[in-house]
Amino acid sequence: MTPLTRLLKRRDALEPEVDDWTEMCRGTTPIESAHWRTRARVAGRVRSLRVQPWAGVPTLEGTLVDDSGGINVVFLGRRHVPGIRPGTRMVVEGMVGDHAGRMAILNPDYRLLAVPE
Amino acid sequence: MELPERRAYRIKNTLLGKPLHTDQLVHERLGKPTALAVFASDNLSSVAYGTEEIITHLVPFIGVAAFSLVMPITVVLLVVLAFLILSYRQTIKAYPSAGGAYIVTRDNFGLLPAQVAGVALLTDYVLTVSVSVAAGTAALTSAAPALTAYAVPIAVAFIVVIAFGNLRGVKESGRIFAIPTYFFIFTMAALLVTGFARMLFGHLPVQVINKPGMVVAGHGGNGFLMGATLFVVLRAFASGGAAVTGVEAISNGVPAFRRPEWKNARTTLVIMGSTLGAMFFGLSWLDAHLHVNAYAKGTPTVISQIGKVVFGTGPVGHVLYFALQAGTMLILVLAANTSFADFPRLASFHAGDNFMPKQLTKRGHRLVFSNGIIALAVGATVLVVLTQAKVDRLIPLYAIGVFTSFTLSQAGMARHHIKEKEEGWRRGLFINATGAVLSLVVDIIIAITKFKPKGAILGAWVIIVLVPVMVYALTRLNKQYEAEASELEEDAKAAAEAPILRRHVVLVLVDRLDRSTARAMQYARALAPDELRAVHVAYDLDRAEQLAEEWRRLGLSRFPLELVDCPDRRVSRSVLEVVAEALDGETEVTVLVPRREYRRFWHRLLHDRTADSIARAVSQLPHANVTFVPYHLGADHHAEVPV
Repeated sequence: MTPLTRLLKRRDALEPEVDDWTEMCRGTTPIESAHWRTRARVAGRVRSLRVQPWAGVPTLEGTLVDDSGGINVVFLGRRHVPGIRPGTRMVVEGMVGDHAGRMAILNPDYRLLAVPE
Repeated sequence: MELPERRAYRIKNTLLGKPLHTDQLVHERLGKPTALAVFASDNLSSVAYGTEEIITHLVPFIGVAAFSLVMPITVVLLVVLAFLILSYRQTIKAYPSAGGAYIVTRDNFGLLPAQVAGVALLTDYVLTVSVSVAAGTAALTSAAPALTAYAVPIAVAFIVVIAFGNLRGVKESGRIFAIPTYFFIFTMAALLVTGFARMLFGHLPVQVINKPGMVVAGHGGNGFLMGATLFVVLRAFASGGAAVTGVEAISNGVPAFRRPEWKNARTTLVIMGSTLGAMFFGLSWLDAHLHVNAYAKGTPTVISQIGKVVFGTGPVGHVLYFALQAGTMLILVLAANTSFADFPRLASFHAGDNFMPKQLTKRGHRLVFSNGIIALAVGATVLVVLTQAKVDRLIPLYAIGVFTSFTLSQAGMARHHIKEKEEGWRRGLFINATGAVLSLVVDIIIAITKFKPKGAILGAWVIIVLVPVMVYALTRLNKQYEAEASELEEDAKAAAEAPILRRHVVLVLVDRLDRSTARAMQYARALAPDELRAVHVAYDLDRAEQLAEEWRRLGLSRFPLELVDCPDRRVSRSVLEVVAEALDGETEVTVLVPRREYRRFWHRLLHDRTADSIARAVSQLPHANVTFVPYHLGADHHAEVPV
């Protein structure tokens, strides 16, 4: 398929943009390799963020994604974590557990990253 | 509860009258005299321009000799007419329910040839309107020359009035039609009788053929064709062919006759044909003796000049002359009206067989096929404006379609006789086969001689190009309709029995915290889904945080508000991703979109249509559904329960 015929196809997915900055963060693994009940250190972008009461405790819950997949990151007892907004890039480290039936890292250590130039 | 109607509908109600109940669709049964009035106008009105067209195409080449050729050409046309009438007598008997060319061709040759017959006929209905209205205008301007400059607006006004009357639903009620038709027949009879009488006593002066403004006369020669080439004669013949159009009208409307329908229809057809024949013959005969030449501009018309000469200049003569002009104008306008009855019906046949847009099958406010009427009016108006309401410029396009459909339907009848072998089929076969061959010959003559008249842009070529293009477009459209239908019908039963999905997730799109959002949340809770989330696409982070803060403050935090990253500001794409994530094969996702409904058209222009583009994007995913929750701006919301 020539680039032109591909361009003119009525309905076609764009080639996924490679967002490989996470690979350059030292000591991190791709999100898909995080396993339940192991410690993981992953880098990613906050795709979505929601505030949700959970067992009476306000909880801030976000989904962190990289090219390999996504994982939930949960801050118990918080409604707001300064600096964490949709689109924020961060490295998180913690034990992979589960939260409301989904794989999640609870109360992780985190470091915010600057937006790369 | 009061349900307000839109203003557009109220205006329509005032203009067109109250909507008719579907049960009011009655078919009036017509006796022979009324049926003649209803169906004959298209056919009979052709004499108004038949002779003139022959003259216009002969005089420039052979001068005075033209008047010796008028009669032979007229007689040949009358022979063609006679065969058409004999042929249609067969059709009426074989297809008493609806014997239009479309149906006959479809039954005997299949759908594709039927499209050719139908499209040819449809284009000709448009031309019938244009030609009749243009000729009617010419009749008016001949009597009142001051109006000549306004011919185009007058013609367009005629079309608008006729279209409006048809939208209101002029019932095919006999009386409205009977008066002008019989008035025309009467005035024509008066003209012909007076003409013959005065001719016998030798009173009528022969006219000069080179008055200023008339068609410039050429020089005649000797021999069988008076020096004209065969081409010139054939072209005059082809132009005169317009005079025998409209024969098919009765065969389209056999069910409208009183019992026994086909017998009455046949009798009426013969009466109509004889009347046309007599008038055409008489008019050509008078013209041949009076040497009335045509004007290049089309007015005064030949028939009007003959009227002036025959009726003379006395007071009685004046009255009769104006009566003739009025009768001519009225019957021409009525002829246009016949097309307004036939075109929409034929188009609805096409659409019913999936060959035209389905909109054409819908009966409108007053039980008429409104869309077909509007389409015809638009087409005819365009033609009239393009040709400046000049009959002579329209005639080259005319008649080719009618003769094409004559050919196909007569050939179809011939095939019918061979297949069915009913009593007397040999005779029927002979008649219809001859009819088909004659029509085909006339059709070919028209196509060749009027292909592109000198100095004109429009000609038969327009139709020759248009018909195949249209037929191709219609078959393409048909393929699309059939594909859609077969896709929808495939395994419909199995699909109806499919089990429901286990989970239901409802996502409410929130842009800001306002009444329309609150309304959407209220509705979402009524759905009682397994999971309910409010979703905000954070194309502006500061706004998103502000919204989250308000959400918490208002105590809506029972429902989680999800802020979704949207770095490229493509809101609908972000929503699509969120929905795709929620779909897992066991989940039905409903996206509730609060949508503001605006009271006025320009209010809507003040906003973009994000809600609609989101709906389009999301609904392509299987088991993703979009529901709009409307909020009417400017409406009375007191009745609502506060959230």
